[in-house]
Amino acid sequence: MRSEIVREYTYREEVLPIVLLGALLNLAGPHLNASLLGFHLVFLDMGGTLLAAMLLGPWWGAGVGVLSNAFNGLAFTAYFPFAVVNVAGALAWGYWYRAARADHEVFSPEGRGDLLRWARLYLKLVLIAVLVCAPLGVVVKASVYPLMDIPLHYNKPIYLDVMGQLVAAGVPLRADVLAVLLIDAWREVLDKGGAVAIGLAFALALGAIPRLVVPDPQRIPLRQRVCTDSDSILWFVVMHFAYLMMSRITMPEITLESASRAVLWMREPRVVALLYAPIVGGVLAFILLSHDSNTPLGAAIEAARRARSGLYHRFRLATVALGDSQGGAALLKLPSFKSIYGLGAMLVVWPYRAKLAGFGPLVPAAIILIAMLVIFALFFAESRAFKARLERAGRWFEAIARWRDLRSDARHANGVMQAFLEMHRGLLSAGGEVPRHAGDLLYLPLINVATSGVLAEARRGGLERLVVFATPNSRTLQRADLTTVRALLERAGLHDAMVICDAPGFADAEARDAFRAVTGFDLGVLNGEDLARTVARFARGEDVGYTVVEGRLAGSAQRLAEDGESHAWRPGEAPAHELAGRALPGLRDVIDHLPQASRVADLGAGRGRHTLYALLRGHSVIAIEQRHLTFTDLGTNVAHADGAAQRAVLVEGDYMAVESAALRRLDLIVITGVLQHARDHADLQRRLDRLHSLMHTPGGAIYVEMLYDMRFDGQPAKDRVTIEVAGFERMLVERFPADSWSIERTGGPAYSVLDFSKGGRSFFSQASFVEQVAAEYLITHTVTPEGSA
Amino acid sequence: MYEMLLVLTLALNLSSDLIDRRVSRSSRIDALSLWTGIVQLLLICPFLGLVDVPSLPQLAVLVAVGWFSSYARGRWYAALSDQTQRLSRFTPFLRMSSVLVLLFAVLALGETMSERAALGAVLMIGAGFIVSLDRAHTSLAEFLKANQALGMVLVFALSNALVSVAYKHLLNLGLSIISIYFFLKLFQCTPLVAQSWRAGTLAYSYDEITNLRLFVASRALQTLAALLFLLALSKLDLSRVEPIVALMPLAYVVWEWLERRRGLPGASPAPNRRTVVVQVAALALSVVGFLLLR
Repeated sequence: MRSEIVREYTYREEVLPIVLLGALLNLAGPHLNASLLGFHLVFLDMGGTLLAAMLLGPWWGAGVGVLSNAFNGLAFTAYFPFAVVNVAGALAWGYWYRAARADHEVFSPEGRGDLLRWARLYLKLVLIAVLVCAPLGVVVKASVYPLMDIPLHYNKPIYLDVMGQLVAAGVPLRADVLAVLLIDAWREVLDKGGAVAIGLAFALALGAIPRLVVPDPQRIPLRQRVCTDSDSILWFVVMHFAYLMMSRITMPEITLESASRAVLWMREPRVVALLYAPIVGGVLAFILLSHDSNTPLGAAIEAARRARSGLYHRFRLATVALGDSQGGAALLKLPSFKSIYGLGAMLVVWPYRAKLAGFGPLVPAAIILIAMLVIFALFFAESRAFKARLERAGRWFEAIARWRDLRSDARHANGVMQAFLEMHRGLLSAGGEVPRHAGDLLYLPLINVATSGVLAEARRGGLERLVVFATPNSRTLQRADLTTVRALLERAGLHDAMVICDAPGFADAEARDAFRAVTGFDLGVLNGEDLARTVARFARGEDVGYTVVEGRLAGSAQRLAEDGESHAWRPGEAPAHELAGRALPGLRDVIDHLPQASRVADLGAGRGRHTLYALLRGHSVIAIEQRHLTFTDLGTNVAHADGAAQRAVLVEGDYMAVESAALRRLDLIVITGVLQHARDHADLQRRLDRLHSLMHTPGGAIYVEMLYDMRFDGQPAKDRVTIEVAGFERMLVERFPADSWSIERTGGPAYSVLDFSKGGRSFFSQASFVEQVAAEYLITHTVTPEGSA
Repeated sequence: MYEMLLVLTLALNLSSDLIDRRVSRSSRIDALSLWTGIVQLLLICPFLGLVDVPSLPQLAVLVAVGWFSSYARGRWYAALSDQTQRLSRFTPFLRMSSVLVLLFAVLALGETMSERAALGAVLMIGAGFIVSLDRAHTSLAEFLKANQALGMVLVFALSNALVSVAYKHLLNLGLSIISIYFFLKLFQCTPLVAQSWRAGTLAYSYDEITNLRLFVASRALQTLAALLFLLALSKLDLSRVEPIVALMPLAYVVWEWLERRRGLPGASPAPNRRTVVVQVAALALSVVGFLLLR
């Protein structure tokens, strides 16, 4: 089976803050000790290393170690060569932490408040540091000191004293080495005792990032448990390179007090060997101990990371509601972790703090201490708020996804109602009411809109008081349901209702008129997409609100019908972003929320509207098109996308037969307006099999637009499969079973008539008018406990 | 002892080429070139302390040769990924770099060519020509298409020759061998990184390498081979080194024979009699030519 890259964390939201925080802690330790505490032979420069090794993994910890050493080396003479001690400490802590399942020990719900567990962890981490760092520190000294004609004991009284006692006791080993080892071990107890306390305090305050998602970590074999992701190793090597480059440029020659001469330390074979050791370790860890997507743990971690990444993207991107003109730059930044810039700035200005030395010895330390405390406080506040929002928003997104799943039932409608209530807590007068059943409907009676705030837009749309209804996605509202709605409204003495419903037929003008005719009332409709936008707004810290279109609350599902824009372009004539702007709205939303630099396959790409949309969003695309003329247009259109074109692979051929390296690992497969070309049910089944075989990525998705009941200038198409919505959805459910796939109907079925009288757009049409019923599906490859444990 | 080190170098290089052949067949060529450059640079970073800063003219030579060799490496991976080719078919063309080195030495460095060396060069060129005739062709277009991969290998051989000449030239100017090695890797890497950065594919392009572990293992082997070779070269005369290096083409043939005999995965199908005869003749000519050349 093919092995894919597994990444444990997202860079920007998860790794960068911890790495910066860790480096800053490592920088602060020695300076605060030197300025304020004054402990002899203590550096406190590995607290951040421990923090990163615990929360992110051993190689990120090692990266923090070399990064902080690169900066500390600028301030402390002969500091540079000791980076290898920091690296070794990080690796020992990080690997032990994983092997011993210590994260579950202290970050599980029962472990988090258990101080005894934290105390045990503290002692073990200090012991590990002493066992690893003390001997390695002696090795570094033994490699560097003799080059400057300095004895290993450095002529310090404390070492000489112990050495004298060892000689007097007749110890057969080298007394100088043993004396240094013993004293350094004791020094490490003090030093690492402080560093571990700092690291643990920050780890406790920040909390763990949910790396492990399998239900029973006890069953995971040791070798899988200690695996790290290859990204962390790669980034460590890059940071190691930066550290060496900085050492080479700023401190190629070092000298110590009482040294007879300076030494070009990086030229010494023993030092080169020490510097090479982490690289060799990294290569070995990469080959032997990095995650494999074929292992249950690897697949689960990758899926969890992708899910979190999707959430972050939802928060970061401007998702503009229908008819809503806001968005853009104001919403582009993640509304959390702004203090990360403060952390980064502190790292940059750190080397210049000596400029403040003229104000006396305590002033620089005091200024730095105050600045750090402020930034740390901001960081923790943001971190906590962000995590709380993320957790809630994640839960709500899941509720919406379950509700839209083809296999959904009333239970999931209840879930989405609860999410709706929670989202508007404090803003609705009867927010805590439990939903009730009325026939097949689920409803919340007597929910009054607050006099101000979140639903102000709704009120402007004429909805003073609401009854909210939810319907399972697998069915549409019938006239009987509308009658039920009217009866409930009359009984409650209300005039308006809000319906949460994913059937666009209910939102279109005909149905709205029908509802008005039956009930005499106007009506607001929200679909899954509207709810998702509302969740994203909540997570960004904005007011949740709805947009009024034509005097009613509106969902965006009706945009399916708006897709039939009449203007046609010749290839290369329209700017890439205009062509991309014609991408299906539901699909745009999916592409917007893909993790950064994802891989997309556009099967039956046509002239490339979806290919271009994905390219302009920064993803890589393989676009496959069979018809020669259309393929030529596709090439022309993609070539006009400038730099983005380099991320495209265009293949002329049948997607059923094409084999390409670019199809190897996909995050999203797009297949819109293609499957209806299947000749019969067997052919359709083969095409679904092909889609199934192409998607291996945990958390990856397939976006399908299926067209039913097509008529070309009134005539049905020949040699094409005849299938109803229900029949196709049954095939989907069978081919993509619930144990590892979810299937959401994200749009439709919606009837429309497309006007091709002025020429084809995404494809060449032989008819002037094409009638069709379109439905869109998002099929997501999930990782279940059965599949992962 | 250093002779054994040299043989070990050959074994490491052979292993690396075989791994690359497997990896390149289902990976994206651009990604292979880019990450080869990056990984090789990162793997030698602990030697930064030994690196001297070159003068501007030296830097210019290093930039030019680095850039061209990064392009040529892409062609090499493209040739390797051609599933209709065998490594042994490439070797006479790879060996052509020795002829090109001689040519550049005569033209650029003002060295002289002995009759014996000229004969060696002719034999090696002849070997390359013979290898391209191992398949029956009815037209020039068909001939060119069948030997497109050999053209790419020739580009790679040209870049190897340029690298060798640059080494010799810069060593003569007093730049250390590790400095040349480092800057060549740096400038091989830089244009690819810049290109990938512009395309927005830098951060994740290694996803497009089929088996990243094998790929990294291959880079580690290659770097180890390069470092061992430099060590052996510093201790041995060229007259001892070259005959051992000349064994390399034979090693490919032996390995492919072993692959077929053992039925190892990825083994190329058994060639027909004509191909075998042509390749053996070409390899023999290539080895003899190589020894004469030196």
